[in-house]
Amino acid sequence: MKRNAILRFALSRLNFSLLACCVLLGCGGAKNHTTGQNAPRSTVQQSSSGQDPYQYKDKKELPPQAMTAGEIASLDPSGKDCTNQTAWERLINNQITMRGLDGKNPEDLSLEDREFNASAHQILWSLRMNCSAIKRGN
Amino acid sequence: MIQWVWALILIGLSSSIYAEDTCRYVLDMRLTNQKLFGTPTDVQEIVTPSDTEISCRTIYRININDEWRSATGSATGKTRVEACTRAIGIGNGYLLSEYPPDTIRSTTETLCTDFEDIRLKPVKIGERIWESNVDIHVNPKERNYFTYKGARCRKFTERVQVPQGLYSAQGVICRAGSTPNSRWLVVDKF
Repeated sequence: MKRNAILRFALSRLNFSLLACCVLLGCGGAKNHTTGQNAPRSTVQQSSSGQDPYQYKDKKELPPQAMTAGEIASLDPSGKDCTNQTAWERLINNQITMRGLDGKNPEDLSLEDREFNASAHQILWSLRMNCSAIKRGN
Repeated sequence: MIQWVWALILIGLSSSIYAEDTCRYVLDMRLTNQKLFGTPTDVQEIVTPSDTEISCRTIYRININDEWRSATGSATGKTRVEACTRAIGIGNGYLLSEYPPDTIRSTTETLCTDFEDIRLKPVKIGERIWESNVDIHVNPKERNYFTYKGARCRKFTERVQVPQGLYSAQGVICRAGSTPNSRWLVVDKF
């Protein structure tokens, strides 16, 4: 009887010690799930280990670079086939947007922006006019 | 104070009367197909039905020697469409005077209407205009009408005043409807 009481006391001490160790050192993943601070860090780690959201998925497609008025004027998309019309239009429209010239009237622009805007739109409309003529079979 | 109010009312009344009744002289100059660009546009109509047929008088704009001019024509027909189509036929058209009456001798009649007096004017992207509110393109190679997204479009040029001086802007207008009196939309200007 006395031996049983001693054994029970020892077991309860052992349980308490194990529980204390568990709390201090952390048991399994329980601590990670309950602590809010760890959640964003784990998200970042997951993202950085995979695809960078700011990198282009297709390495062949380079991020758009701003062109100068001279560079855009030197573009010559006057190919006879209009299969690349959409790509050209996207490129030119990106340039117009990057420079903040969407929907702007020329009288509201500086001389430099006006030259850039005129060159870009000239290319866009010559593409559209040529390609619509080709589609009609002219 | 009351005198000012009366003065403003009188000014308002006189300007509205002036706007309603514009008289122009019909020149004794019949239109021919020579040196015309495009077809009659910005057509405004007066239709007068009678017992037997419908009479249509049109005022429209036509480009002659790179310059927009007003012209008029009249015809009769069984329907409104028939009469007004005949009335804008080139052979039925006469030029309208845009000069002071004392400088004109070869007039046939005076035509007074409340139609809008359409003239060249500076335009903005997105504006709805008459086709002859903008000039034809200075470069003859750029003058042809073209189709863009199913609409009839053409390029235009406009002389724009900027702080550095005059600048020749280009633009694109597209017809917003399919009838001869449809307005046009300024799609782009650069």
